[in-house]
Amino acid sequence: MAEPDLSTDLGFLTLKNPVIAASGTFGYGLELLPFCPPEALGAVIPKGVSLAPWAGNPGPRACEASGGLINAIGLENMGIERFLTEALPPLKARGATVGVNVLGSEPEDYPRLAERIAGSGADFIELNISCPNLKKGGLSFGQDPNVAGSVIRESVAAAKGIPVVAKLPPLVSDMANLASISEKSGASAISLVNSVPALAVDLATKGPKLANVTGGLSGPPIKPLALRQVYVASGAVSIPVIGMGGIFTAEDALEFLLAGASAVQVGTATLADPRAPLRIIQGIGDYLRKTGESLRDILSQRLPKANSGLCSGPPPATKGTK
Amino acid sequence: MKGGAPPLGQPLMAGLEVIRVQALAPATTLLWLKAPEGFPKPFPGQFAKLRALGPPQIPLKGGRALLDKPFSFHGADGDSLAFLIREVGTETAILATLSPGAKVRLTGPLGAVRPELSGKGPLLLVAGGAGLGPMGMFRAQGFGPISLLYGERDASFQVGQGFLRGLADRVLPFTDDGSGHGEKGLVTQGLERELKADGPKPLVFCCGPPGLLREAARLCRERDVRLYVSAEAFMACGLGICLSCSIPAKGGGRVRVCVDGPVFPGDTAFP
Ligand SMILES: Cc1cc2nc3c(=O)[nH]c(=O)nc-3n(C[C@H](O)[C@H](O)[C@H](O)COP(=O)(O)OP(=O)(O)OC[C@H]3O[C@@H](n4cnc5c(N)ncnc54)[C@H](O)[C@@H]3O)c2cc1C
Ligand SMILES: Cc1cc2nc3c(=O)[nH]c(=O)nc-3n(C[C@H](O)[C@H](O)[C@H](O)COP(=O)(O)O)c2cc1C
Ligand code: FES
Repeated sequence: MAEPDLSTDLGFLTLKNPVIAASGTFGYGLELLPFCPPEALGAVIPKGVSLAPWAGNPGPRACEASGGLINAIGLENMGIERFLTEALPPLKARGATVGVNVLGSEPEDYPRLAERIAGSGADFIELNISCPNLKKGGLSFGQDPNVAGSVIRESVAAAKGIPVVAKLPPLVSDMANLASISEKSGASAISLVNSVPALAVDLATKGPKLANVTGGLSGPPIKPLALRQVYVASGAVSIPVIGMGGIFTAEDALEFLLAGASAVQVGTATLADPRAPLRIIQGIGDYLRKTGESLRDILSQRLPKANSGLCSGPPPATKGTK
Repeated sequence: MKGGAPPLGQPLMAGLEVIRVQALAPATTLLWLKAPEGFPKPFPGQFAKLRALGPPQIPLKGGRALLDKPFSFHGADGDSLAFLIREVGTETAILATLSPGAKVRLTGPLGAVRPELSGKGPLLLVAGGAGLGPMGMFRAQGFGPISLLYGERDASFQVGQGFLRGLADRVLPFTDDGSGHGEKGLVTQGLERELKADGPKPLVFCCGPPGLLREAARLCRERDVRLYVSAEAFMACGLGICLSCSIPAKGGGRVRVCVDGPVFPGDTAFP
């Protein structure tokens, strides 16, 4: 039987397969060469970069909790200048498709970063407006749809044609609204979810397990929440949705595609097994060979429309009773 | 490290068979795995991520860990790889109760190659508790004589003298409360005494809790003795991609314990 076609069309970019390495869990892209060459993936998104290098948080920076991982790396990164001269060119030279994840401490940082990336050879920009670790300004930018909208709009203008993907936080009061604002502000796609604000307490020391106290939860425990948010967001927009959150197997990835995603990102799974992204690509191919479907068949299926809330509302008034 | 990280070996990932399990103390086990064909020879201080495969043979309080756990190579003789496992939680308890024939997933060797940990002349090893892990790797490195200072809280944790004598020419055990063989007190008291002794200055290698590493760094700095420490940090990936193990480096910048270390010159790890 012929190899199934795993390519997925994001409109602004066609990926050779739907599996993308998530930011912060694939280093700067070349560290895993013995296990997972970046050019074998649909795309890679290296560690998020800011205008100047950031030192990040003191340790301990991560711990396991309830089958997941809580991290408070604090967005340590080499800064955009070093990234563009040292990290991006070798990735592009290998033929990898590269999204540049950017983060700022002020809304104005994002368009300035986008401007630097324009003309660099990057395939797209991913705006991390959702990291729960940003201290300045308290909540993440994505928490306020108006701020999110203007950050996206100005970044799109500054990116001079490089597609901009808005990476959304998991916990917002109205995901459909944030997704729709992202689309209206010019995002070529949205990606979600980022890690979920979380806390781990150490009973032995009666203190927090992480030096930063709180962090972001990722991995298997967030998968159902992420699936729901991808489902809601994809119902609200016509731009592609890139889904992530706890994807460890090909089956997990296929579930996200059925929930409305056009591609997926794999994060924590790569920390547990550096071959995870390749294993997932292989597994999607195996699944399609077994069922005889094409990836297009999967992507064209839709889940039924959900009830509006978590509960189905008050029971309808019954006729004939007082 | 600034100016280029030390070289890494080419790590492998494979399911390996347990060939021998040796209880060294109630909570300490030596686990021997069958080395895969062509496995790179690990350097002292290098480590591997391990995960027991198959159903655990002990009742679990919670679920299995998400991530494979780091352990220093204790020995490597071509056909087999040894790890010293101190039981502190779920995964170490599962590893410690494996039987020959069971399978363990290994990713390694990981960590930087430190050519400084092979050479001639006197070597002083300082181990606190599970810090005994890497100490089996030095016999084959050319040093001599090798002395081992080994500290435990009390006798119940202590590994037997016969085993310790296989690691070094001279063994000086300590227990905090004096309940075990050797001296009463902290291993750092032994280090201070050794550093004051006449004779050629040894190279010192220290592995153990952060307090021990810091005190060893202070003592060695005072006496201008070359020290290498095996630093510990929570490691989510062990491969340099997540920055969960990143610590400040001497003179600014940061290093990742998993790929730039875990062995660092004593003054680098504590700027
Ligand atoms: C480079 C490196 C080399 C190591 N070499 C050895 C070795 O040779 N032999 C050995 O026995 N152990 C070694 N360790 C420590 C070992 O990795 C941990 O003990 C193990 O991960 C614990 O797993 P667990 O599931 O049993 O415990 P968990 O359930 O994860 O934790 C149980 C308890 O142990 C504590 N703990 C967990 N991990 C660590 C850690 N890394 N350091 C200190 N406390 C911890 C937790 O806070 C908790 O209180 C090494 C660690 C590193 C980073
Ligand atoms: C250690 C770590 C570092 C991360 N760093 C970033 C980052 O720099 N930028 C970003 O947008 N997301 C970052 N993330 C979030 C992931 O990209 C991903 O959105 C999240 O972990 C959920 O997916 P997962 O469950 O597959 O890991 C990080 C996650 C982890 C675990
Ligand atoms: S443990 Fe992930 S970078 Fe060191």
